[in-house]
Amino acid sequence: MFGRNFEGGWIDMRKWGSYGWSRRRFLRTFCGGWAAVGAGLVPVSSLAGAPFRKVIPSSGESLPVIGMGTWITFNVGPSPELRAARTEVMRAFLGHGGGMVDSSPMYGSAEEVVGHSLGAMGDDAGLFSATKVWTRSARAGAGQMAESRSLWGLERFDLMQVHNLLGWEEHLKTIRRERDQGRVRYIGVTTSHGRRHDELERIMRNEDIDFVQLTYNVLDREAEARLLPLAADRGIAVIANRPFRQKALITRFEHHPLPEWAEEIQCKNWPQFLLKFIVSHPAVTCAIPATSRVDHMHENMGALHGPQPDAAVRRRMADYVESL
Amino acid sequence: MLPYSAEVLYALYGQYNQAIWPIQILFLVLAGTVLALILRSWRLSGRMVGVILVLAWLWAAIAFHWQHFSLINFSAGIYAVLFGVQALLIAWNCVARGGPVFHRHHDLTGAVGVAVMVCAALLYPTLDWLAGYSWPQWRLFGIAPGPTALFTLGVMLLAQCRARLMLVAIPVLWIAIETWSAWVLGMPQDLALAVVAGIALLVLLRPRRWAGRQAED
Repeated sequence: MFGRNFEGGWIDMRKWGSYGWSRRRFLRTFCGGWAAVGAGLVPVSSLAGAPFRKVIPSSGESLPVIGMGTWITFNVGPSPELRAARTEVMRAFLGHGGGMVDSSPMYGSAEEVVGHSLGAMGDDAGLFSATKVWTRSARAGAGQMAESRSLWGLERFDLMQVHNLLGWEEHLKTIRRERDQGRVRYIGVTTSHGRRHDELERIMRNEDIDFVQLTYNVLDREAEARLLPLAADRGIAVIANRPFRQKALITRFEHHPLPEWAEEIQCKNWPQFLLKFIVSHPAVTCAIPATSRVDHMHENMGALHGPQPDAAVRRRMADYVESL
Repeated sequence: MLPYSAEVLYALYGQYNQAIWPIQILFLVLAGTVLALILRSWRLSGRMVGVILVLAWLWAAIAFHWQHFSLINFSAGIYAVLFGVQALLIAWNCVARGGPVFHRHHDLTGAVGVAVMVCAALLYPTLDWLAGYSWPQWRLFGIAPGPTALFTLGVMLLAQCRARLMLVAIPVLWIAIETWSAWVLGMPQDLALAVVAGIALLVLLRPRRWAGRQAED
């Protein structure tokens, strides 16, 4: 029995396994993927005041488009004062309707501080927990994931990712076992700084994953050429890291005025301008800016609301910053 | 790229200093003792200085890098090993095989050596204070890696010891690491210390002919 694949070639439907696609995966992607494309153009919720959410293609679940990273910002060690300050940042994030909190064992004490903040708040409603496995040892992966659960104070992670593709072949197997045992809901892989995109592309084509995390911002747009279209085609959610190049973009642009037409998309400041550029791309599910300040969190979360740029406005946004 | 900010680093020093108080006083006394031993040049000065330096490097390796710095920096384990190796090198070359000989240096070498030791003991906390950090966030000899490395560099300037260059390799490496970290974290106060270390290194490595002419002056 033969059918067409998405590239238009003939395939033996009995051999879908060799393409890494099961029937379940095909149905999920076909239905969820088209829903995601549709949702990307017509967001799940873009009513004035309602936070902008996008659909996770593999499940149809929606996610607020602005998440929170914890690299450096939540690695504050044992200081009670700094931990209390980060708890307020977390409170502001979730209070504004934020969802994804992304961390990693590589981030020092960040996971512990996230767990401390969630515990101090006593209410993690809306949280979408995302962390990573970061070890060369396949055997140590499950133990590291268990330690992360303990540090966060959670029984289950929403998303477990292989950090910077380190040992991905074995870790994806471990994460799938964790998912089967109910300790993980979604599976992903990450890169950053535009590194290892070729390998990431191979993984996206051949592996059954729900999320990829990569660097995408108004100046680092390499992913637009292949990875973002591939993610949309394969029904893989995309998390954009380094949305501000670790504050470098804000530092670079903040002394320049926003263009007058930024008001049309309700961008009051540069963080909102930079974030809306990212999350308005149809293939991007969410961005994960990191901050250690509550006032900066308020600014970032403003990007959840108001009109989102279309393709023409995104072009104008990129042209404008490149002209500065 | 470092996984922490300057604010977090100093907060860690604050927690660390509070946790180990009053060990800092002991190490300040030991720093003064080292200076006195060198200036007096007694028969056992070399070995006693060696023992004190071994203690300082071991303390920085275990109490700072292994137990505290590792909370925020995944490289701290490697640094703990590095500092442990330096402690072993000093123990072997300055204690087990007989301590270095210290002669009074009434020349550039002597002046720079003493100045570097004083900078390590006093300038580090002074610069931290000027940068807006108050006790217990100060970095001190024996309990913090930077002052310990710089102090050791000063001691080696004044030592006559076959393994002198080997014994300054790790201190110089650590000062380079801290200088780079300071640049990344935006800690301009540490650049002054890099200048001090650079001057010490120049004096240490200057040609013997020039060194000999200095001794004649």
